[in-house]
Amino acid sequence: MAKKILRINMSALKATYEPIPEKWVRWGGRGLTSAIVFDEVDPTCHPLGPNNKLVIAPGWVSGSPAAPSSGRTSFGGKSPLTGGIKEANSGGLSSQKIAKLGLAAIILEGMPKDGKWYEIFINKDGVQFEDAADLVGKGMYEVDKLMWAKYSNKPAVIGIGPVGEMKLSNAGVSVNDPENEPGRYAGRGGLGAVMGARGVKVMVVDDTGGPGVELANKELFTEGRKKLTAAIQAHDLTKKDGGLWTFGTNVLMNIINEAGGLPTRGFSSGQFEGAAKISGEAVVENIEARGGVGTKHHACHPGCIMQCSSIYPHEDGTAFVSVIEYETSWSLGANCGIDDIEYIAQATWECNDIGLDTIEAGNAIAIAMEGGYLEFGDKAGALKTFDDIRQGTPMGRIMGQGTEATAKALGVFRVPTVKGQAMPAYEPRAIKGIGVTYATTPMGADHTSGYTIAPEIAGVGGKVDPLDNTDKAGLSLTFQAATAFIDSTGYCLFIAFPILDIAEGWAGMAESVAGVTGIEMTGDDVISIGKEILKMERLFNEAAGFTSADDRLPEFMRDEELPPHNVKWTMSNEDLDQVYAWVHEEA
Amino acid sequence: MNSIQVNTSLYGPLAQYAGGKYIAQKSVELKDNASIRDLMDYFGIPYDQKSYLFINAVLCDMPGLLASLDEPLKDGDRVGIFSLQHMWPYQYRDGIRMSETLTETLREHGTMHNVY
Repeated sequence: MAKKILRINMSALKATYEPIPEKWVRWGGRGLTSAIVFDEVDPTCHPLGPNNKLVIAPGWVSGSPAAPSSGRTSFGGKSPLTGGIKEANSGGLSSQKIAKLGLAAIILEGMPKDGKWYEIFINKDGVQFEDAADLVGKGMYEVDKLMWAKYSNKPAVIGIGPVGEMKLSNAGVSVNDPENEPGRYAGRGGLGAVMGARGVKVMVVDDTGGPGVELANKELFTEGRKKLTAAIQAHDLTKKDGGLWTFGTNVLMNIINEAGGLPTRGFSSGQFEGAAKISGEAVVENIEARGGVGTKHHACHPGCIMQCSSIYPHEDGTAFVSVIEYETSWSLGANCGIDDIEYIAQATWECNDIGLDTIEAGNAIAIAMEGGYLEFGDKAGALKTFDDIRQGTPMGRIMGQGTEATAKALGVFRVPTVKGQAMPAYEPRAIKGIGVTYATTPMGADHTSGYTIAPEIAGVGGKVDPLDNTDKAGLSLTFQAATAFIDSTGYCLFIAFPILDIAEGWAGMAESVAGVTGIEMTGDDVISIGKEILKMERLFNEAAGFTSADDRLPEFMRDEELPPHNVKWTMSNEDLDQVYAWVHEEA
Repeated sequence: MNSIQVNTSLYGPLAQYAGGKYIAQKSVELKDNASIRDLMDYFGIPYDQKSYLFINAVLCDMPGLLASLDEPLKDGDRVGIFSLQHMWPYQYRDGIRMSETLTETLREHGTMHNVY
């Protein structure tokens, strides 16, 4: 059975199943959300108005049998945070269940005329709309539990917390994990506010009895997934007992700190004296000492073989929070001058519950500290921020709007954002390559926009010397294109690690996609397909009013030296403009 | 004979060489003109068990390479040594400061791989 598009019109409270138009049939995941947003959303529309849409798409291979680590769901729309196109993706239960219902995407559009909040239930029989008044104001921990109590078959729960209800620009979209906890977020860019603006508090997806995912070429799919699985299981970073398996993403805390690239106290230093206390090593020491339900190997979606997530327990062994990612521990910790992992666990829980992106939230708190509203290191003050946001106090609403809004309210000019979105945990003055990606990606400052793919594997040809700064623009484009492709597959982006070093894995990724979709492609096509996605995103942003002036790092990074290396951001504007010069040069 | 103090952090399983579990931070007294080799010998760390190694925030070694053993140390240096269970994807180290020896070594091996 051919996949369909499920269009849910909240103005009419009507759901329709549509055949996939020819122009979208080759896309999945991020490629599909960006294609639909490019085609159907007016770039000049207000992100919270009636003309924006929230597009939800599983990846190409999601829901297919035994594709490893393939449970990512892409969410797309015009971002309230950046004003540009946005794709944010999440683990959790939603991707495979949407795919197994035979859906390539769900388009959520319109706004309820009655101004009510709605709960939407989707299964093989269709779509039901229910009044969600009794869910309004509730956090996602409670909402997830209520939905599993109400509906059978352990469905996927896609929802927004109070931040999304208030339509604040740092609202994420929550997806429940296999334990029905809300730690999986399509966090960046405020898409939770876009969902809130459609009047939808929660969507529940039950795939029981659905048609499943057909394979166009089972033999090719099987061959590809075996190659990819073998690469993941062989590589030092992703195999059992490897870096991700052992310490999770927070394995990077001590490394980036030793390198002098850990943004500290509002991007004023590259080293934090308390980094070790909030690192993955410290988290794992506590997990092992406390026992109980705590675990350092946790799959954020069914079928993940990397299991970089963890469950952090309270001292008595009961569940505290999942998961303390590196970027989360940095944002709420080092960036705020706080070295207390228990505080970070609590702050992470608060973000999961009320529906905040942790990167943006920690940056907003650091700005509040820079602006004198709080002091660096003030744990109690930082935690009170979450109460303020939950309650919708004036300051809470400002901080819930993100880093730039907080900076404007407090008169702070040192604002670590690009296109309105706050930077993640890698200081671009010390780690210069990522600065190029921060500056130029259509998504705003984003650490996941440019995952490394070696040019010799990506088939882009030519001799690239990464030690030569003049190649940074070309490298960044290659990385961004590869990332756009992987974000379309449904595979976790962390497959980039093994397929960087193991060419068979790279080929296997493309072959598994071809096997599911029937689209002819090999590893050599990955970069060109990724560039098609980037081009749509770039053109949308241009139509929304973005220019090359938006592809710049903050002024203070050009002016201020970052200790301990005492370096400034020195990449020229001309070099940055080279990254996307091809958009208007190529036919 | 003069001596120097080196502030050393051992991460992951290497911490067990300094009495820790996954993190050990210790100031070590070594002879003047000591090198990274002397520091690792002090703890008894097998050379092939280290991965990333930093001296004063400068990356001096990578997993699978032995580019740092002869790097000289001086009084007050900060050294961080990571285990083979650590990872640092290329995009998050692209453009960081590296020692001359490591830079030359990576030119031979290719800079972008995660392990060598």
